[in-house]
Amino acid sequence: MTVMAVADRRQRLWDLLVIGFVVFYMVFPIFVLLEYAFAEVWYAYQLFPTKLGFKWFSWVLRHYDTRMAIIYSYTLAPLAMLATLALCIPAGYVLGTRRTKLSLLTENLVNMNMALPVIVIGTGLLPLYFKLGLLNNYWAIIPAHMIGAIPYTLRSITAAFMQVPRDLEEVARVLGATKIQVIRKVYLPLTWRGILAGGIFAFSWSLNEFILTLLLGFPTIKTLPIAIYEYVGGYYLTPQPAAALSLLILIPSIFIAIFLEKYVKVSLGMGGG
Amino acid sequence: MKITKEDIISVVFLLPLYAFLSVMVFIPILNVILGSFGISLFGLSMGKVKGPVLDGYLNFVNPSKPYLYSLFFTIYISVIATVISVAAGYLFAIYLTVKRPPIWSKISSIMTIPLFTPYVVGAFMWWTLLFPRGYLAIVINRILMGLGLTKGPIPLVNDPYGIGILFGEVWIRFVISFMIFYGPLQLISQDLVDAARSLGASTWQVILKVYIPLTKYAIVATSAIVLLATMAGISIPLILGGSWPQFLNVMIYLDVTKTFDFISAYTSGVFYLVASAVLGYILFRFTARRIEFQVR
Amino acid sequence: MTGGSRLSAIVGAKVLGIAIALILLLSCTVRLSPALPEKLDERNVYALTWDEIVELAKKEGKVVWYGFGSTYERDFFTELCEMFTKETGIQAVYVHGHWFDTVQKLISEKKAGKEVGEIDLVLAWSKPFAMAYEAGAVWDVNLAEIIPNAKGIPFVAKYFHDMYPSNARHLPILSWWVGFLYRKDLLKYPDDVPKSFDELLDWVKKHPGKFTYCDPNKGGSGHTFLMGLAEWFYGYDAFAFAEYDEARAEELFSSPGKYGMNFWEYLNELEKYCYQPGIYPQGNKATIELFEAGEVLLIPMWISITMQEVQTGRLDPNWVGMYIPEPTMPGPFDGCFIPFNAPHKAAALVFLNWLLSPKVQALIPQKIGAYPAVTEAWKLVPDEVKKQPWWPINEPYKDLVKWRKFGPMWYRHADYMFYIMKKWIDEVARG
Repeated sequence: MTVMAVADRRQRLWDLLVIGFVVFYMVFPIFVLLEYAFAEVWYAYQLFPTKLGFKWFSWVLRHYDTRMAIIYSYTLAPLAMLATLALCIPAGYVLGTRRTKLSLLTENLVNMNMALPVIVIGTGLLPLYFKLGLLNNYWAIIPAHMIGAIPYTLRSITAAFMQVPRDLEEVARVLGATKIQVIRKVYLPLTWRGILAGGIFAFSWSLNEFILTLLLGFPTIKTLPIAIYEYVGGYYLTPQPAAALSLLILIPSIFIAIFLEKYVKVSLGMGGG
Repeated sequence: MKITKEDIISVVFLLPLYAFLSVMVFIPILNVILGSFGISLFGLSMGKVKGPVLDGYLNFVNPSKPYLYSLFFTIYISVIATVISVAAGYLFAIYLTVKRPPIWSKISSIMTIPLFTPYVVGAFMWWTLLFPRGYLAIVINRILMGLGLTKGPIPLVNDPYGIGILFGEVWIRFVISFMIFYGPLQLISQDLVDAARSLGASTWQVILKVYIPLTKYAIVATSAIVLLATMAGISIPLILGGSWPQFLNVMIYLDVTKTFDFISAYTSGVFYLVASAVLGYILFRFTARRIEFQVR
Repeated sequence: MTGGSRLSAIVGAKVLGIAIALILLLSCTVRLSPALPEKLDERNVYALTWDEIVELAKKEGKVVWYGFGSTYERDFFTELCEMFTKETGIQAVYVHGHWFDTVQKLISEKKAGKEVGEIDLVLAWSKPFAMAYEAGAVWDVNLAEIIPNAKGIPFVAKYFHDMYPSNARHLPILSWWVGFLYRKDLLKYPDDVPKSFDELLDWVKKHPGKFTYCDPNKGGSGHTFLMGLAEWFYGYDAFAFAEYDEARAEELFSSPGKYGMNFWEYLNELEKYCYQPGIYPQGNKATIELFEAGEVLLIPMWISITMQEVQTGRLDPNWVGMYIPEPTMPGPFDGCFIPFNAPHKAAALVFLNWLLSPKVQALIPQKIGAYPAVTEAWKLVPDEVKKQPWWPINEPYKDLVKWRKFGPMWYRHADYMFYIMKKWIDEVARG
């Protein structure tokens, strides 16, 4: 065997080890989740469940509350994503192409927003929503979901716009392109990945969002994290239905991620192709 | 000063964002700040308190009360979690950049799992792994006892050292850190690396002398992002934290929902805001200018 | 009699007869009581008969009940609403929320002057009820006087909730109870377990690392246990319906109780022999998980949660033994109040009465592992249910009727219990 082949083998081994470890680290908690979701009998002193079945899935779907939670979560997320993009795309354009004092100020403000614990904003938002009669209101939850998403999305979109060489827009203008054409032919092809990545952040944030929805929407508006929290957090802990519900979030999400990687080629970086 | 069309466009495009932030962020923050003095912005009573009073603050800085230590604990655990996640995320991103294993492209979507896992679920999954009968707890304790480092099984979750919280936080933040680094690392011109290698640099030297200097501001910025996100998150410390000490935001949650002590909650909120704003401002101020130059 | 006087006698008799007939006729058609009111308030409700209230309830046609609890409780309460709707035709809707949010909502509505709300009945325990009551958000009506089935509830529980004077503005529908859960397969009652709180310290010394209790701020089994312990430690009289005063609490808990120690010293001494000293399981579930995994042999635990753990397949039923330590364990009688702005007050009264009917009360132990508020309903509970291992095995607790009739019956004192919860963090967890 040549030296190259041996080195190659060693390399493959290292690859397997490192990547294998990372994959295991990501996936092992999910495996335990699967165990709980399918365990009909699993005494705590046993290492593995002794009886598997679908009891928890049918249990969870039997409840109107839970079915509504699925609907709420999966309708609020795209709406929040679209609303966030609507705010962040024009803002990102400004921040990414014009590095003025205003841009820097805005960036700083938004970044500081990212640092704020959501529960603090929630305790301040509660009286405001109450005064405006917006508690337990579906549409009023959307802005609440956007608060945490905006810093990440804006950052991603700004970075995307920063990639576009400044002269390109000027050249296009000089050559007679209209505003719309500039957007379609110059910006869109170069920034859509960053925008999409920002959109995914917003979608993921909304899906995850829990404490603001708990403070402002509960008990009428229950999203999946709240439904799971009802089983998992605080006093009443029944992990099995929580695990079943979690799979109902995870599996579609994983499919979305695979789809995006494969067909839309959105890399998992925030720049680069 | 002439107001150009550019300026108008800038303002118009930024207006929706500012409008949103005013209503959903600035006003609530104002409410919290005023509330910490017992003043209610919307005319809603805060229980028995009629402000302005300093009770909230006196209570907070009182060393016999838990709040001050709780703030310290929050910062200190978040720092440790940040160091681990950023280092791990960076090293893994470098490994992939340098070695470029072909298998990676097939399974890279696995990395998004923690992103799509609700924090509540992620925290719970780690609880099941770390509670005394959890798989990980059994393995870790066997190893520690076997090596003679501990005499009996140590608690790994709901513990006073924040170990459980660290496990939960790192699982999630590692991915974010990795994702933020991976892109810029790919952007670094391969010529630089080739040049270094042709001059005889080992892999480690390439990492230390080429990659790290070119991405150092990204490292600082990412650390800032991860640190602040860790300090702000509530689900993980809520489920994985112990009786004592607790994260400050868990204390706020308990004050609002269990003891209905709004003034303490608002006061804690103010301290949180100040700590986060100061940290955030310093770190971003430091990096924003550099990033601007770096990308150009 | 003369002819003339006979005629006037006949006319007189006829007039009298007609008059009497008219009066009788009128009294049948004209109600002697006023017509049914449009809506109930604090005054007219006492004037109506129960049947009139039922009639009004049917007119209202709907009742909305906000509750809280585990998934089993949610399922059970939803089922109850369906049963009620079927039986009476009044639509009952259950909303599973959290007592904190519900009470906050009502208090805000009271302040804003919202006279007609959405909630008709609220399941709440003492603290949130007290908050709502003090804010004026509770319908200020003596429910025990109006609701017929309330007579089956123990007297004190009707007028006090965790020793807070509810004055029957809040009526209990069930009582969850905490007992000592022990490994029936390894330990025998009473020889191998601490039969009374007096024996607890010795027992943990003999079995170090085999006992624990839930962090009192994270689960009710913890704070109820500590309340019981405090009542034993200083004597029930120190707490029974005593007024709360923080200075008095400070003084009491730092004074010596048993073994020459004060309460915190006792707990710190106990801690030394607990499972993972200084580390307390975070929540009822976390505590019982330790038991289920075989890590501990004895824990204070809700009967209801024990039952639910067996039913979800996590707890081996052969391990389950339950008893109540002497002198006794206190417990809450939890129940419902009607908000001040309930839109369907009559329906709420009728629903509450239905919840207190013996046949509905008898379902409670079976479905959620709690005791009925109406004591006699225990007799209707099937034997197979009573035989389950999560019910206490010792006298008089085996028989709810005997227990409630002859005692001992201790209650928790909400204010002192909260004091213990808050102080525990400093004195025990941090110390």
